[in-house]
Parts: sequence; structure tokens; C-alpha cells
Amino acid sequence: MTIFFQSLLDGLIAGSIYALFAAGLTLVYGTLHFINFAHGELIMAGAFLAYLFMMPPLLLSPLLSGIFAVTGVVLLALLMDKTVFSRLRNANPLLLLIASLGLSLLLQNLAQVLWGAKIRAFPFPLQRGKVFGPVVITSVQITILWVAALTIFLLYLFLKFSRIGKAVRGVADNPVLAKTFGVESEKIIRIVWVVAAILAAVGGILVAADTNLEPHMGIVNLVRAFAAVLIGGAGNVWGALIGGFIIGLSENLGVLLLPIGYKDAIAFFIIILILLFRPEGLFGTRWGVR
Amino acid sequence: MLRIEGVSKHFGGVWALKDCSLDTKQWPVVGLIGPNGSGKTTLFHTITGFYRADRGKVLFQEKEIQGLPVHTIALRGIGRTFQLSRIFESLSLLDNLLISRKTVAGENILSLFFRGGQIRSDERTAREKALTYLNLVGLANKRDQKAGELSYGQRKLLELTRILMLDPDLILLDEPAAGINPTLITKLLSVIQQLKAQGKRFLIIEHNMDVVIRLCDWVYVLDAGTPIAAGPPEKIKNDPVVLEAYFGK
Amino acid sequence: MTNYFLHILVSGEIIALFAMGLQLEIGETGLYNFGHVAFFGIGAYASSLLSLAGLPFLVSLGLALLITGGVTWLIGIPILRLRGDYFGLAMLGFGEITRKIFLNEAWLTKGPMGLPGIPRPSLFGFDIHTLPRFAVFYGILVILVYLMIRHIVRSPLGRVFTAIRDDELSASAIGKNTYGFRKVCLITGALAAGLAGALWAHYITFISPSDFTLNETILALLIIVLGGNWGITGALVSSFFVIGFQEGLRFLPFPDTFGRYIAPVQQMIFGLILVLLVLNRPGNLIKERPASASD
Ligand SMILES: Nc1ncnc2c1ncn2[C@@H]1O[C@H](COP(=O)(O)OP(=O)(O)OP(=O)(O)O)[C@@H](O)[C@H]1O
Ligand SMILES: [Mg+2]
Repeated sequence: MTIFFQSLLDGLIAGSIYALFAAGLTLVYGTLHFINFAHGELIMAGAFLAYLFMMPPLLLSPLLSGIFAVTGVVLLALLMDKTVFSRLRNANPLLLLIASLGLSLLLQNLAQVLWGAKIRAFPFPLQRGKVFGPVVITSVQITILWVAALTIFLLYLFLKFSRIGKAVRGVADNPVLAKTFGVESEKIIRIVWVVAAILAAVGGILVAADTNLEPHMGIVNLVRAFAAVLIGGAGNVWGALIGGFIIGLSENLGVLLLPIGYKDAIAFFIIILILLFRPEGLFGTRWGVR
Repeated sequence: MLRIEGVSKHFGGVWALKDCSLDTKQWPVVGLIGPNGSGKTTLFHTITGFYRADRGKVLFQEKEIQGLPVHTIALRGIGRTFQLSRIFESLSLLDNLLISRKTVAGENILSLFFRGGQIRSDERTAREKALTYLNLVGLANKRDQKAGELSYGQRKLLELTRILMLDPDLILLDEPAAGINPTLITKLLSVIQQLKAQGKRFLIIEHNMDVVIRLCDWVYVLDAGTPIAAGPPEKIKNDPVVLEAYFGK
Repeated sequence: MTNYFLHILVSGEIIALFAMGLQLEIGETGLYNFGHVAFFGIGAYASSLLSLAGLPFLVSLGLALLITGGVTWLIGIPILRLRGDYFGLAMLGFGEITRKIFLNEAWLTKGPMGLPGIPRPSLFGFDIHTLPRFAVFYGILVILVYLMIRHIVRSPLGRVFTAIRDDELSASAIGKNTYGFRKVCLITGALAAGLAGALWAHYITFISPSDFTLNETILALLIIVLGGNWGITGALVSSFFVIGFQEGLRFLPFPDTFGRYIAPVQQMIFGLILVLLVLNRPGNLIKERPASASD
């Protein structure tokens, strides 16, 4: 029973991070209609930039490192859009997908050139967890939970109350609506990249704080994010957030039933199952037959 | 030939078809008209198996065809065109027609390696037929061009001939005259007239009333997913109920 | 030095088989299979395990192809209901799950340790154990597979594949059972990949799960994008270019301290080339979305 509650807690922590990944990915998917494989590298870049600022010679505080890292990732995302994706605005989504695969390969190996393939961890002192009833939680994990919660809350405020935020969600939710925005759409796309990059970077820093970081960490997190996106329905931010928690929980509870080696495959199982049972992926009805 | 009984279909909260019944009976060319968004195309999609109706029956030659896969319905003898014509753009005109047959010997992977001769003769026979149809619509001189190079109107003609290759009993045309120039419309009309004389049957969605009057023997009027009037075209044209549906009161 | 060139030649031949399968799926039919490496892995593991169990090379190879085809037939039932990027993603998932199975079912696959000592091919008593023999034997198989796939592409069957790539709805509206045709395509492509995997295992004589990652699929993707307009021939030719470049880098006399950079730099270059090729829209690998079909 203890292990169940502990897994539940671990699942919630992981889920709060995956929710951030998924919300960003779904905004991009909803607006630009392609699966951005390089989203995983935005996550990785967030983790590595934070690591860079925290380690010698800079030795900045975690908060300051985080802020610089997020800024760096936002610039990276805008650069990717400017140099690659903006030139493919009306192209087949699969072409964009392949371009993003190329970017993903480029960036993860760039990180490997710079930092090596070694698995690293943030320089936090080793901590003893606090015991709450049946579960143990470390202060880093508590920080992760509230940073994730705060980020989600800010995202909520932005999408719900700011004019541009409402427009962003409208476009992501409804591909037909996107056309009516016309001139504004380029601006909306840029905002979407900024928001997605912030979410990816914050999530990447948190996931590295919770576990570790390495140059090829993007793909597995991308897969989790995409599974969550599908649960929520493409373009649906709230759905993606919930999806993130579902993935976090099923990974951590799933290993109670499955061998631990299959943990990373759980998100894939979920993807395949959803794709098969969601009509949107099926014949003709996804964007309608005309 | 084709009988629709009480078909309904909704998308989210919108009923694209609502208790829709119609029957082509003995009329060779039946028209289907109605304002934009009245459910005409949705009805075509439902007949040809792209959509499954929420309620109602679709009977073709007295047999229920709902639930059959799209390709089976096509092979049963219903050919259709799409509102925005769909052709195979990277195939040549000739290949667009050659592919469109109920049985093609060379589409079986095993025959490919063991029955070369049979496949060649099968293709040769089909080629004759395809050229006849290309001549009929005046596209024979472009037979080896990629279909993607055709103009909008030519695409529509190609799409029609592609269906003819299947020898369907009933042909559904979704706005065949929309967006093409008068010369091509004349050509299209004469082709349809010729086919009608050969005994082909049609169900045609069309906004152009001149075309409807010249072609159709009977017309159904759809509004908000329900037939609101039916009759010979001359009569329908001046029916107050129909005018109201189009122009409001 | 000759050995070195022969090694590149043999590697190129194996990857060419792998890439031609993907070209048939993606390039000719529009099946965006991002899990192509799974078939490579299944072919490799099946043939290795069977021949390690003592079966003769040709029997193991034949059974391995049968297994690859059977698995493809089976997973095609659910996954071929999907299209476009969703199909690609589900296949990517299948590829990763396959790798996890290689990794975790140690009773069968020895897990992360991999399978050492895979027997070299032997044809009716004639051993293929030297580089020149490998190059010739595998070369003959490549030419055979190339001719077969080209025959398919140019046949009425290939015409249906093109039609499905252009417009699947329209193909079903003229009576084509598109599910069946896509399945035939996927199985044919999978067999080419399975053959490549098996040949690779019997050449290298050691396989482990880390050989079957998404990177291999991306490599094949790069090859077919590079092949551009030239279809199956393009895939064949560019396989040798890409493998030549990849293996060539590895053998250049870099100083030792530089060694750890070679692999990632080469992957970076592949990523960059892929992006540049897409930006310059190579041929008709991927059709532009026609203006009318988007609404
Ligand atoms: N795939 C779909 N998803 C949601 N709504 C749809 C879909 N297809 C059709 N509709 C809706 O159903 C209604 C009927 O559409 P349909 O295309 O059948 O009209 P139509 O009579 O063919 O119009 P037009 O003359 O403009 O071609 C419309 O309100 C349309 O918005
Ligand atoms: Mg319509």
C-alpha cells in the first residue's frame, strides 16, 4: 500500500511536469498542424542551459539560472521558427515534421558535442525526504510541484484573460478559425512559440531537477507530451494538461504491474491505443471529407 | 434504383441531414438542389459510404448499402465525383483512367511476377477503352501528361471519365458545372446527354438552374437537410417554397 | 585499404535494402513509417536466434522473413487504420516498443548484452566469410530486390500506390480497397527491411538493442529525401553516398582527443542536411497540400 501511495505521488510530480510539455506542444500542433519533434530539444535545452548557469564558472542561483535558461530557450524557438518553420507555412505537415526531426537530431548532437553523452544531475545537495503519512517527499520535489502549479496558473491567466491569449487558444482549437485571423496569424504564431518554449524550458528544468539530464532526453519526453496531447485532443490546452497528469500517473502506477524496463514504453502504448480509438485519427473525419 | 429513407446525420449540434427521404425511381437524370449548407454533399458522402448515417436507410437496387466500405459501394455500381474534383495528380491522364476498373490483373503482387503476359493484354484492352473516353471529352491529345497539369474544368471532365471506366449504374455528380467556362459546360452537357442516351442514370447536385433545366427529368430540393419540394425542373423553378428557401421571405 | 572500401560497400548494400523498403512505403505510397527500424530489428533478431539455434543460414533467413512479414501483417490490422502523421507516430511507437522488447525479454534476446557469435552465411556448403564474398553475395541480393521493387513501382500495382499517395479517398471512391493495398506495400517494405536486418546480423555477427533506434530510421529517411525525384533508384544510389560519408568520417585520422566528437558531429551534419533538403523541397517526395483540399 505504501508503495502505491508513493507511486501516486511520484506520478503526480511527473505528471505536473509532463502537463507543461504537453500544453506547449498542443499549442504548436493546434496552430501549425505538425508534430514538432524538436519540442523535445527545447526541453533538453532548458535543462542544459540551467545546468550551464548553475555550474562553475558562473555559479548562479537556481532561480536566476532558470530565468536565463528560459530566455535562452525562447530565443532558440524563435530562431527555429524564423530559419526553418516560417519558410514552410503552407507546406505539407509531414514536410514540417521531417524538418523538425532534422532539427531534433542537430540539437541533441550539438548538446552532446558541448557536454558529452554523460548523464548529469543538478548540483543540489543530497536531501533526506520529509515523511508525510505513507509517503516521502523531498524539498526539491515540493519546489517542483509549486513551480509547475504556478506556471500552469499563469498559463491559465494568459489564455483566459489576455486578448492575445484568447486568440491563441481560439486558433489552436479551431483550424478553420485560423484562416480568419489573416494578418494577425504571424503574430499569434510567434506568441505560440514563446509560450511553448517557456513551458518546455520550465518543464525541462523541473524534470532535470527531479531526475537527471542528458543530451538525448528530448525524445522520451516528447513522446510523453504527445501522448498527453492526444488524450486531450489536438490543440486543446486544458485537455493536454490533464493528459500530462494521466501519463505521469500511468507511468508510475504502471510499473507496479509491468517490468520497470517497460516504463518508457507506457506512453507509446497509450499513444497507439488512443490513436486507434479516437475517430479524429481515422478515415476522412479528421479534417472532414470534401 | 436509389432510395433514401429517413436518413439523418449530425455533426456536433448541427443536423446536416434530417429525416431525408428521396427516390430516383425511373427518372434517368435526377437533380438535387438547395441553398449552401443544406446537406447535399453530406448526402452524397452518406450514399457512397464516407459517412455513416445516424438513422435511416440507403437502398441501392433494393439492397441496403449502409455500412459497406466505400470501395465496395463503388464496385456495386455507384460512381461519384467530388465537389472539389479529386484526381490523381501525379499520374498521367491515361493512368487515371486505367487504374479505374473493377478488376485490374496487374494489381495482384503475385500475378505481377508470374503472369506478365496476362497483365500486358489486360492493360492493352483497357487502353482502347480509356482512349475512347478521353476522345469523348476531348482530352485524348493530353493522354500522357500528368493530371496535375490540367485546368480546373478539365479536371472535372477527367474525373467524370474516370468514373465511366467503372461502368457504374448510377453516377453522382457534385456540382459538375461550378467554376468552369461556358464552352466546357456545353461539352459537359453533351457528354451527359450522350451517356443518358446510352442508359446511364445520374443524380446531380447543381446550382446552375439552366443546367438543371436542360439535364434533369426530376428535381429534389433540399433545405436544412430535409427535402422541401420535388417535381419537374420547370415547375420547381417557380415554386414559392423553393424561392423562399433560397432567398428568404 | 581495400578492406575498408569493401566494408563501406557491404554496409551500403545493407542500408540500401533498408532504404529501398522505406522508399516504397513513404516515397511511392505515402506511408510515413517512422518505425521502419523495427522490421530491420525483427529480421536481425529472428535470423540470428534461429541460426544460433543451429538452423542453416538459408532456412533461418527464410523463416526470419516469414516472421517479419507475419508481424507486419498483424500490427497492420490496427495501425493501418491510421493515416499521415498519426500513422507515422504509431509506427514510431511500435519501433520503440519493439526495441524495449529486445531489451527486456532477456530470456530470448539476452537483453542489453546482445547476441554475440552469429554465424556467417553459408550457401549449400559455400561459406561467405571474406569481405569480397560478402560484397558479391549481398550485391546480388540488392540488385534482385531493386529490380523487384522497381517492377512493382512501374506496374499497375505501383499505379495504385501512387494513387493512394496522391489521394486516398479518391482511390477508395473508384473501388480500391486501400487498406489492402497499403498493407501489401507495408509488408513488402518490411520484408526489404527484414532482409537488410538479417544480412546485417550475419555480417557483423553481433547485435544488441541499441542498434535499433530511431536514428536508423532517420538515416533511411535522409537517404530517401536525398534520393528525391529519382524514386527507388535515387534511394539505392544515395544509400552509398550517405554510408560512404558516415563510414568515411570514422576512418579519417583525427587526433584521439577529437574521437568522441565524431559520432555526434556526423549526426549533426545529417540533421542539418535533412533540414536543408526539406527547405529546398526535393522533388515530389512529399506533395504540397493542394490549395483546394485543405478545407
Ligand atoms: N465534416 C463535417 N464536420 C462538421 N460539419 C460538417 C461537416 N460536413 C458538413 N458539415 C456541415 O453540414 C452542413 C451541410 O453541409 P454540406 O457540405 O452537405 O452542404 P451542401 O449542401 O453541399 O452545401 P454547398 O452547396 O455549399 O456545397 C453544413 O452546415 C456544414 O457546415
Ligand atoms: Mg456541397
